[in-house]
Amino acid sequence: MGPAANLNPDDLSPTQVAVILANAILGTGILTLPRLLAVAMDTPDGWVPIMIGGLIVIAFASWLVKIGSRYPGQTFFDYSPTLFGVWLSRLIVGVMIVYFVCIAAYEVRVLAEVVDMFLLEQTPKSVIIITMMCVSAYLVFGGIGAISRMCGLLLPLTVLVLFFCFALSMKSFDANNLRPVLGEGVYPVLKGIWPSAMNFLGFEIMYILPGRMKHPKKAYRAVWYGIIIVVAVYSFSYIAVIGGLSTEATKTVTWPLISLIRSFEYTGILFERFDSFLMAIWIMQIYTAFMLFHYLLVSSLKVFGVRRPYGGAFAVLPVIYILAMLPRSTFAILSLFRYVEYLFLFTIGVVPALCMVMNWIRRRSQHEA
Amino acid sequence: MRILHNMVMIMRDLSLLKIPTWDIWLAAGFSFLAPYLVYRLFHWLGTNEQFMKRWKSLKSKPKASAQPTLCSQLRQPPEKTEDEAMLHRSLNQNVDAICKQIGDNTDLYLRPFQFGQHMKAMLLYMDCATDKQLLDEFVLKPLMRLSSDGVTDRMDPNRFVRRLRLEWIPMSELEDTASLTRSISAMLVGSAVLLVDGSDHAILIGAKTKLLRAIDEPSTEALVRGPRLGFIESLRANTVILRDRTNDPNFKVIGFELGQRNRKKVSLFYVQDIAQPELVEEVKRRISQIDVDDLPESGYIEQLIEDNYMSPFPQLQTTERPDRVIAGLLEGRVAIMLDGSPFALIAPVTFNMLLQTPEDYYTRWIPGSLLRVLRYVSAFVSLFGPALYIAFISFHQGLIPTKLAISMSGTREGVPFPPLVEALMMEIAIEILREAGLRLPKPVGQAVGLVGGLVIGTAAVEAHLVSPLMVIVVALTAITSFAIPQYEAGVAIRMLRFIVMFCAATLGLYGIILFILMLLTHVVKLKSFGLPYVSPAVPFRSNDWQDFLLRLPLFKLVLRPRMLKPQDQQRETDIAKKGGDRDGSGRQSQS
Repeated sequence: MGPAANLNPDDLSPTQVAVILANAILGTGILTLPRLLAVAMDTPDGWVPIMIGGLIVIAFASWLVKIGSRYPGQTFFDYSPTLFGVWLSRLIVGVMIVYFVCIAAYEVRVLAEVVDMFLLEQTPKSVIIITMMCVSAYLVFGGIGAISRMCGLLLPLTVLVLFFCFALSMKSFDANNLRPVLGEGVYPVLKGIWPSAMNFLGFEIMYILPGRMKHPKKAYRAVWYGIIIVVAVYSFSYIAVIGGLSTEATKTVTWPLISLIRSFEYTGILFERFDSFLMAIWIMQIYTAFMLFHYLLVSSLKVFGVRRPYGGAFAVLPVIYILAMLPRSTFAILSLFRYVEYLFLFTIGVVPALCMVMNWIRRRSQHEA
Repeated sequence: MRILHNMVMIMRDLSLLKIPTWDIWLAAGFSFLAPYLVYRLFHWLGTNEQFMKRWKSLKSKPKASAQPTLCSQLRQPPEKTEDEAMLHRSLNQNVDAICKQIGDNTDLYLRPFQFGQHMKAMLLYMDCATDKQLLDEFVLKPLMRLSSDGVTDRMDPNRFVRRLRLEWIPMSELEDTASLTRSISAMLVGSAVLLVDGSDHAILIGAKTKLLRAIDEPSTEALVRGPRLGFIESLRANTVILRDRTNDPNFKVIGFELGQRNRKKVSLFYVQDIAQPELVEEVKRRISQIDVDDLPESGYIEQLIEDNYMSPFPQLQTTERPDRVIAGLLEGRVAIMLDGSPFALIAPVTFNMLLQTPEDYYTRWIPGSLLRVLRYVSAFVSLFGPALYIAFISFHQGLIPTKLAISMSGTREGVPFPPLVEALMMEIAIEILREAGLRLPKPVGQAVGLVGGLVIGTAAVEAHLVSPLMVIVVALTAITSFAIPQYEAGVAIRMLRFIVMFCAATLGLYGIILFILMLLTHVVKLKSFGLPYVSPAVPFRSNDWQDFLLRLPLFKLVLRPRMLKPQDQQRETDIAKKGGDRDGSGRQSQS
């Protein structure tokens, strides 16, 4: 960067971290979560596991912050070679890269499915995916400062339009669909926790963000804010969908939120239907989620010795693309997704645990020496 | 059994995958090559980073430095540079040397005269460039009287020249120099040079003919309410205008002389205890690296010091209005003015400035805010109007209300072109009309507008070349683009409108969204003098939002925009003052 860069350094503030975090999480989940919960629980109490899942995720994300704040100014991919040693860190990050590629592929493929279904019936999916990947690559070069500004522009817009849509859906809202509250006891709620926690994937971005902050300790607060935004969006969308469509109907539709918004019309005003708004906003959210995973991928290549990210950012695109095109149908994508859950567990559970252990060992050996 | 079951499950899941066919491999290759080649192309054309590197590499050798002020000159006379020719003691040799350099100009004027019996002197100036009346009245007249007094005999010529300058020539703009080069260059811009035989010093008498037009209201930035005052082509007059309207001792003017062949004066204005010192330094540095033959207009400076020349957006604001400049300075920005151009440049720019007018602050806050919101809306319509029309007509008839869709397709009946061609025809026609009307004299321009807008529009509809709805959309975008107060921003939006039309024609609403994302990406990456272009919007600072989409009442705007990191954050507003007084009196009563 030029000398003008030090006029306004791109250090992240806690608000920006919260916004990036929320943007990374909000993605496909907005559309699919109500159906996943309805299928898993078979009761209309999905908002309870969403909140519990949110709390669990806050705990895990704070764990990542705790590990990251030991190394101020460094991201996970900067300090992992010193922590694990070069080869072990390459192994661990290699598995994480597989996970990132899977999620990125999943996001763009879901995008392609939805756009194909609701907006462009005749355009090939490859065009939809490749154009989106190109736009993402353009932003990834801008660095974390530009990314944070982008997220800051898009998140308020998203939340505003989403809640506007939820408010409009009051027209077909029926509170009876949400009753009885906890009618079948606590057991279905327990069944719902895992799928709802899964839909918070994306908070792995906290591997990077604390290292970009001036005061990494403030990231704890940011995690709370960021996740609370997501919990609010998820639970309101769940309540709107179940209230509007009922649990039984929700189980049968692939993209319940779109079905809900398409189910009502307001005649007489300029726009009678509001699914174009929802689609626009949702595409932007998928974009930020995909772009942040792309960014994670590019930064994780550091561990493999790629210092300048330009080539790497383009090299991962064909891999993501091929992986995204592999599943035969929407059903295949959604059912194959459960294999990714193991990678998710590895990334947010095993890796931090390993970090803790290694830290402990290092400290012990330093004490003895 | 369990293992077998798992195997079966995995086999079933694998069957959900398909083996990538050749078209997938091809597209995968394309997904790497397309962005990579675009990236290489833009890299080759010059990226932001490269451009910033240019600043860095030139850091060591500034081409010009800020002009020394008179204060510093009085303390420490300017040092002699190597290739500077010096004056000689003999008058004849000096005159010969000058004539050798510029003697073949018909407008060189020599006026020999004498002090007393022996002391020869010569007044040299360029005819017309120098105000002869001034010279006659304040130079020749006192000097002639002096020579008839006869005090001059047997005085050392150098001392005599010094006394001339200090005692006998009643003019304010005098300079004493020993340099021949300096004398000649001063003569060329309208100073008279007084040479005395036996002295190797010359007196430069600043008596330039002033070519001024009357100060009137700038036609490009007319206001309903506000001072009817605009800059003119003289830097001096503009400085006077600014000085006249600011009497803050912290208001600073730094001068530069730029241009290798035609030296032009450039001034940098800022308020010392508000503007961020790093910003001032950065602007000074960039200005001092300008190295061109000539600077005909401040647009040259703009293009030579901007951050990213690949951007469609202006990164310095041009204005003819002194009140706008002063408002910018009080927010912590800096202004640059060039002699010979009525357009001041304000830096750094953020995108909200492009949609603001000074009037927002002069009218009361509710109308001011509403008009500002209206401008944002019109910028949006102007950018996306035709694109949305194309997208909804050609891809998403299902997303618009059914009745509207039916009437829209009814109006398009008989139109032989796809919506994109239809829109392009009309948009290009209206852009041509606009460009044509701009250059023509005013009455003719209006006629062109009438002929173009009314006649062509109606005729095109009747000939079933375009649908009437398209004409409405095009007219709407044209009108909304007139509502954008900054000409440069308007041009940027007009350019981008065509790109987004193509996006909409290929990918519909999805294309428009991709375009929005591209545009936002460009804007979030763009910086103007280190300040992010999207600044007031993000990073979120509640203080800056008070003056972004809305303009809150003046007494609410207590702090200057924090994005500019002003040194003196507090504005003196009514309420702030009252609060301060109340605090002060409270403290007094306690103690």
